[in-house]
Amino acid sequence: MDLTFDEEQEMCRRAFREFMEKECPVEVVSEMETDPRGFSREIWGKMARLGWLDLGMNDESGESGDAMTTTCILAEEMGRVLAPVPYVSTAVMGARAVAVGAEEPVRSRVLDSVGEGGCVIAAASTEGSRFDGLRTMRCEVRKSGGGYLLNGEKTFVEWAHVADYILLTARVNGGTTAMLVDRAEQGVTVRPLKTMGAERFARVSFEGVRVDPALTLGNGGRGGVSAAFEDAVVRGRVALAARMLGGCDAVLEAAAKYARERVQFSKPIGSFQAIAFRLADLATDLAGARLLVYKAAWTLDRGRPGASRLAAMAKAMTSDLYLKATDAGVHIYGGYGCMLEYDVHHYYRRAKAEAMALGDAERCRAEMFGAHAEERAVRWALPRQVEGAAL
Amino acid sequence: MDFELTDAQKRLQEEITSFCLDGHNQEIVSDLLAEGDPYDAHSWLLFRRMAEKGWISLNWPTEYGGLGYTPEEISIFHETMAYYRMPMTGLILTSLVGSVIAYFGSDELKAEFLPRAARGELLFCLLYTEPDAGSDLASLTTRAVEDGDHYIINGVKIFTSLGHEAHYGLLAARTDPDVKKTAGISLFMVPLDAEGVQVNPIYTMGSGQVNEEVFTDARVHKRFMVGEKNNGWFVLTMALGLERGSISGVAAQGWRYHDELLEEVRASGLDSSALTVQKLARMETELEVSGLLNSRLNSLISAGRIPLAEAAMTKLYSSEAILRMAGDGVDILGLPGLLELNSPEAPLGGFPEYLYQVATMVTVGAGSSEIMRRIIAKSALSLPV
Repeated sequence: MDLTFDEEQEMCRRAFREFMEKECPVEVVSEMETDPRGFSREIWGKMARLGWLDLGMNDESGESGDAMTTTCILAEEMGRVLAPVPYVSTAVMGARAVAVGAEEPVRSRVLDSVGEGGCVIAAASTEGSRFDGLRTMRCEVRKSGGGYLLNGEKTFVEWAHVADYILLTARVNGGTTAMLVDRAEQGVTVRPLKTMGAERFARVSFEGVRVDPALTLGNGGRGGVSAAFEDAVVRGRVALAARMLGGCDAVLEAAAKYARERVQFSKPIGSFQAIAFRLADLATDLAGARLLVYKAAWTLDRGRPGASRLAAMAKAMTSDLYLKATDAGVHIYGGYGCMLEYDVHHYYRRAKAEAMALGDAERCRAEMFGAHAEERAVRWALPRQVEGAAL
Repeated sequence: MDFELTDAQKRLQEEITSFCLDGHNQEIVSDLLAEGDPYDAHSWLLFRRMAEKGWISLNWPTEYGGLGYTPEEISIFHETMAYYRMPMTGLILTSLVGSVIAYFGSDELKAEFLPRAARGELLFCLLYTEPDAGSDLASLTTRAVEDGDHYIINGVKIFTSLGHEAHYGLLAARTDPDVKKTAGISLFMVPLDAEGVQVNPIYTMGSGQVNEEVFTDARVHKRFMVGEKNNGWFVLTMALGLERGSISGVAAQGWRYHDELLEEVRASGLDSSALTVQKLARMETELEVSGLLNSRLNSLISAGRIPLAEAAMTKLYSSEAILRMAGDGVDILGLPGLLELNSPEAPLGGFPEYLYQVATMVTVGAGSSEIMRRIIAKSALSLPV
């Protein structure tokens, strides 16, 4: 075991951090909240040119691959500055679903385009009020004449208003299948929803939308669930968890700095245990959550069993932690925490949506004993009963 | 990063597992359980068997019987033993005091104590805490006054695990009252059967026993001083760091409890409501994270770092987790979770009520949660606390 980052990973982190701090100061985050597109094409283009949008795709190399680990390092750094770019849905979920499920030449065409920053993918995982797994979809594909038509509605689809493709699953012949839908297709309607964190959510309805067979991403996974979409959700959860780690880290760092500087009762408030201990608990939980996230990423990179379960575990823990950290952050800043002039509100307002995306903490924990129960790692064997004694 | 045990580490784990599951050893464990305090009880027979494997001296320098284990391997040892409920208190204490002697003691002390301790013939305990010096250990008032070739000890020590079984205790006493409080402390190996030493039992929740030692003009020869005079605080700080190696056992006790609870929920048709599932999932997550924090600590130590904050985080997180899960386990089982250890109809053999009582010590012993938070706040967050 070695639970430290190697030199190359540390170098990557430094490069990511330097870039994000330079390109994405809080002014950009604020500006993007009212921008019609809501994301910075400039940052996106630069990330593409640096080769960062296809980091997650080079994981066919087996033992030595660390694509998901590197993706998490990047996502953490993006989370620290709240980088307004459609990274997780495009470069993690979308790219993964296409890599797993699409046939050539579409596979290479879409992946190349993602890598070049030329295409945005929105990942539609929710139909009702929350992520409810991949078995309860009502969206449906039916045969009609010579082709297939999609009908139904997805809710809270982030980046749908700017997406080239929408990644979704729908019922077909009793199972589900994953597909990309071209947003420009006839019958696709995108209605933006305004939310607390200025997330770019939309309600997307599909009325007799033509399904392009070349853009379907296979089915036939476990329990009739699309393997491509399930894989995308697992990786999406790990990346989101990493992004939340970054957010926690930024909030904790800022709150600790404020606690060292803010003087009340003639002392820095960080000298009071009521403040210091709350921050110490957060720092501890954050250190633990980070290890859990990277264990999930490592398990994916090495193709070891148990990844889905670890992803759910990591998403659950970081979701809880992000809410706790942002709450503490705002509180420790006192009245200033509520002021738009200070930065901490950006994290506070976004934490809820992050925590609920792809399954909130309760949902993820429930899955540990449902969908992913058989992945439970047995560490030790319970000893057999010894004659004449209760063990 | 690498989250897997090496093949050699897996073999070590198997070796320790087969020791634990050996029929004779299991019988000893069952007997201790029947007596009511399986974690803190002491079995000389088992202690000698562990000594035969070289485990009492496992973390000493190799010339004194150390096995050359890496920090991760020492954790594997403690985890596996704890999972199988081997009584480890005697080994942990003796091993720790032995390390202090090996690193700081005179050649004479090493020769006198280490070979016998490694063979399982001696049991050591720690005489640090006093009635009025707990978290603020440096304020201890037990005095050691030089008198010819001897020191004369007066004072009271308290909450001593295995004080009633041990041959010697590592005593922290004030040798210079006129300097700042951390500068005048020295350490001694004190025979507990010496004249002027009285050991009184203190009974604790969960059928446990700790002890109080009253020193009344007890004479200890100078050669029993460990390390230099008045340098005891430094040695103590190092020794507290060494105690860390056994933290991993705490989480492994939790894994055992979790696994048995899960079996019980599955097998007995017990309420497996959404709330129970949430609790079990949270338990598992916290145990996983405890293990990861501990492994990270091991990685950092192996890389030559002295990770003060990380050690405190590991202790804080895993002890708080086990206390929480002890209570959650009882909640999952309902009122039967309160049935006494070894009572016939108790689920999990009555272990839940026992753990619920003894887990309260885990967040106090070896530095309370508050002391851990203070270390973290200072060294990880640079807070002026």
